[in-house]
Amino acid sequence: MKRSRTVLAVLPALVMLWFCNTAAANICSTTLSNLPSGTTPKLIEHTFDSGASWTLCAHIDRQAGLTISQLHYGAPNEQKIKVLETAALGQILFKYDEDISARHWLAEFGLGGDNHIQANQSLCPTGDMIPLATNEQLCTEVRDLNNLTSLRKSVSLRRRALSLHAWSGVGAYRIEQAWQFTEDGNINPTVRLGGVLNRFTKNVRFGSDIGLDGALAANASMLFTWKLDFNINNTPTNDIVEEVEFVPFVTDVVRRTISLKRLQTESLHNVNRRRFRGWLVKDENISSGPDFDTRIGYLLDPQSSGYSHTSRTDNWSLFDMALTRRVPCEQLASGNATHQRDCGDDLDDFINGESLVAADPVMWFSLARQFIAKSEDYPAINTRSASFSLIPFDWSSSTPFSDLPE
Amino acid sequence: MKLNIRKIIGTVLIAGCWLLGNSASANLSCPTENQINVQFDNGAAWQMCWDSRIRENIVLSEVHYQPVNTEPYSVFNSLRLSQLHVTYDDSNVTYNDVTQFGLGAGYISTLTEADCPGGTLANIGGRAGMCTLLSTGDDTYTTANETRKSQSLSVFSVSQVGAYAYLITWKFFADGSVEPSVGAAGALQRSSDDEASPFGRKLEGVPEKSWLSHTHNYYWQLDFDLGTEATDDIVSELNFITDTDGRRSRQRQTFTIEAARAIEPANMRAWIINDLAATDTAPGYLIEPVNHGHTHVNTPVNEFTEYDFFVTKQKDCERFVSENAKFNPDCDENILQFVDNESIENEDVVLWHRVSFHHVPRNEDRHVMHSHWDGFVMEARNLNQQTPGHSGAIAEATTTALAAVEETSALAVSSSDSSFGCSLSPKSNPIQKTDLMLLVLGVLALRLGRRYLHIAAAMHADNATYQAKSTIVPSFEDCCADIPMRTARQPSTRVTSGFCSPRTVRRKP
Repeated sequence: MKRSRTVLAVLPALVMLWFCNTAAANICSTTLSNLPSGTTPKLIEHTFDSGASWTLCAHIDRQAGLTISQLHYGAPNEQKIKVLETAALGQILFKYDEDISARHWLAEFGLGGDNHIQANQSLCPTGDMIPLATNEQLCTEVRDLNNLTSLRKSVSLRRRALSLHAWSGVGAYRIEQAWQFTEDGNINPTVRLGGVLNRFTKNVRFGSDIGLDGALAANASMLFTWKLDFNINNTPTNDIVEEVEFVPFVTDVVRRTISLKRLQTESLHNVNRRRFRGWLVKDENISSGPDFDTRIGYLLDPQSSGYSHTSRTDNWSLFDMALTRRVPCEQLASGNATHQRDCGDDLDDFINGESLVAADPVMWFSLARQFIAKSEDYPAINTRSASFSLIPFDWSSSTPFSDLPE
Repeated sequence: MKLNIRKIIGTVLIAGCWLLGNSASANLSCPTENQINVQFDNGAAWQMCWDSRIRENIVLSEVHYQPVNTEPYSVFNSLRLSQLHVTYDDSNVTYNDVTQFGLGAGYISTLTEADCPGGTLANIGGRAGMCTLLSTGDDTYTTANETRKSQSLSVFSVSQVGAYAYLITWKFFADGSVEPSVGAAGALQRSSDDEASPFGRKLEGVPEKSWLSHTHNYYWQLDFDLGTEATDDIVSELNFITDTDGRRSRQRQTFTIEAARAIEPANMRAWIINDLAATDTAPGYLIEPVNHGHTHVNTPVNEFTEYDFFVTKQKDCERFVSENAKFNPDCDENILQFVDNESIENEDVVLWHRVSFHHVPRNEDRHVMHSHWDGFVMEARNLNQQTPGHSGAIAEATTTALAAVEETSALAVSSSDSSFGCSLSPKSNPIQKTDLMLLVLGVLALRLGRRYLHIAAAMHADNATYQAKSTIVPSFEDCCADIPMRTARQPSTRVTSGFCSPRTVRRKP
């Protein structure tokens, strides 16, 4: 009798656990319609000691590599809210300085399939290796951010972050895709480029002498483009995108007023460094506070956009941010038609004046970097990286970390 | 995590033993308690002195990097955060936090062991005021057969100025690179009682106020002393010019006089300092201003905000980017006055670099702000003979590529210049003529008044893009005037240069 009561008591909990796991798994299995058969994104969840939590699905796309979907963030003591429908790299342009045009790595080679490199102990020494599909394995890690994230009047707290890492090989290069999700809601996408030198030149205009008996290591430029399909609060067609600037007040160039311009059609944009331009994606209806003065959203902070890309062939690559209306077949920023035959080939094709009103907007953000070889790049390239931040903006009505006194 | 801490403690112990028994340590002049010594798993090491001052707080000096299996190598004479501006969007007042308040003495926050896990807390004026901390980060290299995680030493202290808490950090990597950064945390400082103020934002729960947007403008002073001599460092600017066909050519121009320079994103402008020679292979450090998505320009109040990088002749009394004369009455007031056309050839040089952060208040900033980090990397170049910590095994892809370039080199060299549309050979490059003219103009301007030497009209950035064309390479503009690039404003006149033809380098015996 006693055993029966125990079973009866435990049964609802087991059913609930099964239901939750099934529901969570379903989140990952039903969302992406264009996945190859047999591919099921893996559910990844983490709750920090503070109560903040992240839930997401991850899989390796043949072209884009590590792909995040169904991303939810919950601030401490607050319910989880959906942030992104999908997010992944949208292209890597890689051009040696002596070449005329760039290679489009995601379209030409892809970061998934045979180019995916399974995470192993040496790549992921302090994290967990998560198997995905056959021959696919990524690394997840919860890391101390090694800094004081909140501090006032000698009350300080460290913050931690969940990160996902996946590696790919394109020729002799190694590409690491990383997504860091911090305890306080920041999303930091990163790409790191390593591998070995595999192009040399004799022309001093295009290479760097690293002491290899006359052969110069070829210099190069890169453009990393991320595709971010926001879906804030699970209502994609009421997400709005605003361009935020701080413009001189009348004729007084010293004082600045905030300018919010809603972007209502597909378009290409650049950073404006002197006006502190950024882009805010927010839900049109939902507020985090009772006053309903603000709307929950995320700010794309282009602080790491110090360099601009130049090209004679890819007009879209001259811009830092592109905004499109979501079309399922628009997967890559360039070379798209190679893999999606009935679709446009690049962002210049995608951006055709369509309205973003009551539509699902997709943001494409690019960072330009260069590679100037040095002796430390031989025999192995000293890893170069590019990263930016998506910052929760009015996601909570105040700091959600209640362990910090006012 | 436990494993990490054990590893860190182990590394520190190893470092201690190594330093006790290693005769190759740098001879630091500071007391033992003011020395920082660390050795990494790959065998490289850093050694330096630290001090806390009332104005700057942490000043690092006699900073040496020791590559694997070699002698300690002098990198910096000193490092400091030279100024920290706060400018609110509603006024024309700029606060100079370093010189008006100071980051040291009573402004230093007391740190706890929790703030410095596995690290070492140092005493400043009777309180735990500085932390040195070893940590392991992401891959420093990854190949098909080998990978190694980066290691770094962080040195940080926290200064509470008003409501702001500044987490001033210096990170020294095992490959020789250095990353200064500042985390801005604490609480929002100012608000307006006008809830409809256009200079700020109304936040949830405080309907009667508008919280003011503002800029933190950070300036670092980097007194390099590469190698054994302080007076043989050479500073250059790199620009990468895209020709009509799409090829990018690197242009390197060496500073021979003091200069103030702005970023040039389309040319991926960078600055490099080398020991002994302005060559690819000379040891040095590269600064790529990639964290310049935002730039604080406020020329009506501070003319020097037009620029992002400065090179000056070293003078002890030139400490602060602004309000310098307040504490150094025998010296000029601000950085643009320091740049007064003095020769830097065979002189001890100092670099200054700034990064801006514009803070838009958000709900999450009530009641405490989560830190926003800003900084830059000084990338070590050629301090190591090869990838530090690597086995030295050469990949087949590298060997094949090296063989291929040998086979094709004769053809490439003979056809390269004629095929690019724009010849940029050094002999015919009128940049040198242009810069000579600029120098002549500079001398004339000197007679008219030092003040006007520094006036440099700049690129205008209020459009969507920066200039696609270089402002310092008129020869290229003339040659490639029809480059079909993105819409760009015409560059305005620039007179602050400091360039001339590459000098003959004096090699040490």
